[in-house]
Amino acid sequence: MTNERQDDEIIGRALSRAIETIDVNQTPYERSRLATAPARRSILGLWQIATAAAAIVLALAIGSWLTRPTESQPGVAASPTAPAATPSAAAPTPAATSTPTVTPVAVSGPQFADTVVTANQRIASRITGLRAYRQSAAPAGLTNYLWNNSFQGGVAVAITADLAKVDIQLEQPFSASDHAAAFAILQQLVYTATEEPGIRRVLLTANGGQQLTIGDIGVDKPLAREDVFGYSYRAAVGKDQVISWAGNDAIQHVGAALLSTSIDGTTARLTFRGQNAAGGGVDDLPSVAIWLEQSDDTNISGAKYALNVVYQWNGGFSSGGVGHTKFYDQTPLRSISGDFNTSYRIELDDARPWRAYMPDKTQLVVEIGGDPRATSDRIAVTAPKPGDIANSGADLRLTGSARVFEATVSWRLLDAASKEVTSGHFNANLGSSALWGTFDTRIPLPANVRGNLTLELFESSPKDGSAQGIVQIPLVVR
Amino acid sequence: MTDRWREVYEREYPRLVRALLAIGRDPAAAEDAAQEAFVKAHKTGLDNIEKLPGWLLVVGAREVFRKAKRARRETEIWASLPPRDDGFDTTADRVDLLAALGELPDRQRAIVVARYYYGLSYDEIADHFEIKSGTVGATLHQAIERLRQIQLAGRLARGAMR
Repeated sequence: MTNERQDDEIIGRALSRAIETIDVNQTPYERSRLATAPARRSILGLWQIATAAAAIVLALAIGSWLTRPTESQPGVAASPTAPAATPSAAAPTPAATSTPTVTPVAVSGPQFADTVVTANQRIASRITGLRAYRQSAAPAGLTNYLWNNSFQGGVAVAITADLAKVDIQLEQPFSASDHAAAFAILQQLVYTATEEPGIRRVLLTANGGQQLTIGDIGVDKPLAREDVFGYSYRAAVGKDQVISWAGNDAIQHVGAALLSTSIDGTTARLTFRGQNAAGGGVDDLPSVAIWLEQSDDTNISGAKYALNVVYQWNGGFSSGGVGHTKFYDQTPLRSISGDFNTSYRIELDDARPWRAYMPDKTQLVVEIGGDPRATSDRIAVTAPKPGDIANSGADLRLTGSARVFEATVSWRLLDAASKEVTSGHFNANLGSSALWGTFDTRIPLPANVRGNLTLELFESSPKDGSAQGIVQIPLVVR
Repeated sequence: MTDRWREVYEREYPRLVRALLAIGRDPAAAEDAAQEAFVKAHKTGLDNIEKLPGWLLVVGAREVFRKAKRARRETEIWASLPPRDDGFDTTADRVDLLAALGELPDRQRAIVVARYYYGLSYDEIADHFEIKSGTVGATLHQAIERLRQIQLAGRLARGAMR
């Protein structure tokens, strides 16, 4: 070997050592594209980002309007703590505000250290990640109530089956300015701890197994996401809870294409359209069955729950769809698997309420979630949104969906003292059927009323006329 | 998916990403290209590939170049490489070398990485990169000479600052 060649070899080896020192991400095999090829070729970008970082959960910030004290009148979404956590004896007066908190949203948190390998460590790391996740890093509208909060100590985790026991070392109690802030902290802790696959419930304690107190909330039992997600009810789970709808099965070879997907923090809205496999044109949708069931999030494409949407395939031959998975990783939608023609399995973060309606015979809309304050088991309002500003003396547009007796939705407007200002009713396009009806109507706001008002929508009970399934939307009327 | 693939993946992946990072200088593109290379290997079949490491490198490198062509953006990642705790000069030398590597033309960079980091023979390089085996040596020498100059310049500059 010539001297020149020898010198080259020396530099080459130094270069090789230099390359060897480059830090790289080792995407685990399970998360690699290889592991999902070729049966489930999919978009893995978002998923990889979410797993390389410690997925943590922030609370959705809400408008700072004032509602009247609600302790005597728990609104639809104002009392989600009742079954989950009871106020401690030393609770501060709850009279100030009881602003309901909407459901938390998952974000990518700090990177895991190399030493974080077990489920226990990951859970602890995600929770300590909450205090390190700067508010300035949070996407718009999301608040990290645990950044710069009083918890500086460690987090100990023990796991039994689907339950994680999480003990937080606290020098001082968590600081929470009011019930809403305390509840937001509880939501963040529960959602973040249960980010771990296979974990459904968490028992939070402080300083070696003592009861954890957050503001006016004392935590005294294991909590699942559904206990703190802010909705007044959880969606029915199980194959026996299927909703089916007889579509047009006279046309052959019509599948349902997923036309659009929109996700906005609390809500995922999926629109399906009937599409003729032979002709390619738009057609009436065939019959459909929809049900929610528990899912397995230890599976790469799985999450906590799965909403199944299955269409009937009419006229023989194969439905033609190719099975695959599409990842979304945006609360509440994790992924969708299926042949994307007759079958869709929609993997979700929790068992939040959902509903389905048909704007016309060719389209089916599945709406998952919604603002907890504007969502009950029979009415879901998409406009106005809580906190919206409305004009005195003008018409207010109301849109949403309902599944109520004889399709009649009642409404009333209450002033800051809970006194009824005006009221009325209108019809949705379907009554109490499996599919929800939709409404798009206008109600007049009186000219002489201004300030903080609450719009209530409800079903008048056919039995005794009482208000059922109330949603309460705070509005500022100018 | 068989355990055989998992084993191959876990053995080859870190090295491949490092090499592709050295070649392409973009961490996201390197990861992406490495993932793509494995998917292509899987499609081709383990038994149809003679020397898998070199095969992955070449397929990955091609992927990196394809992407780089699409988005010609220069990143400053060399400046931000994490230093190791083994003395100032060694670290600086490494950073200099990697920075110098970044100054080379695409093809030279890939060949240098293939030769010195992957240890491929001249013939293998010629085969994989579709160049005459006679020109591999010359290209390598040219590239290393350039590395030496750039690195020397860096070292001198550092010396001047002390």
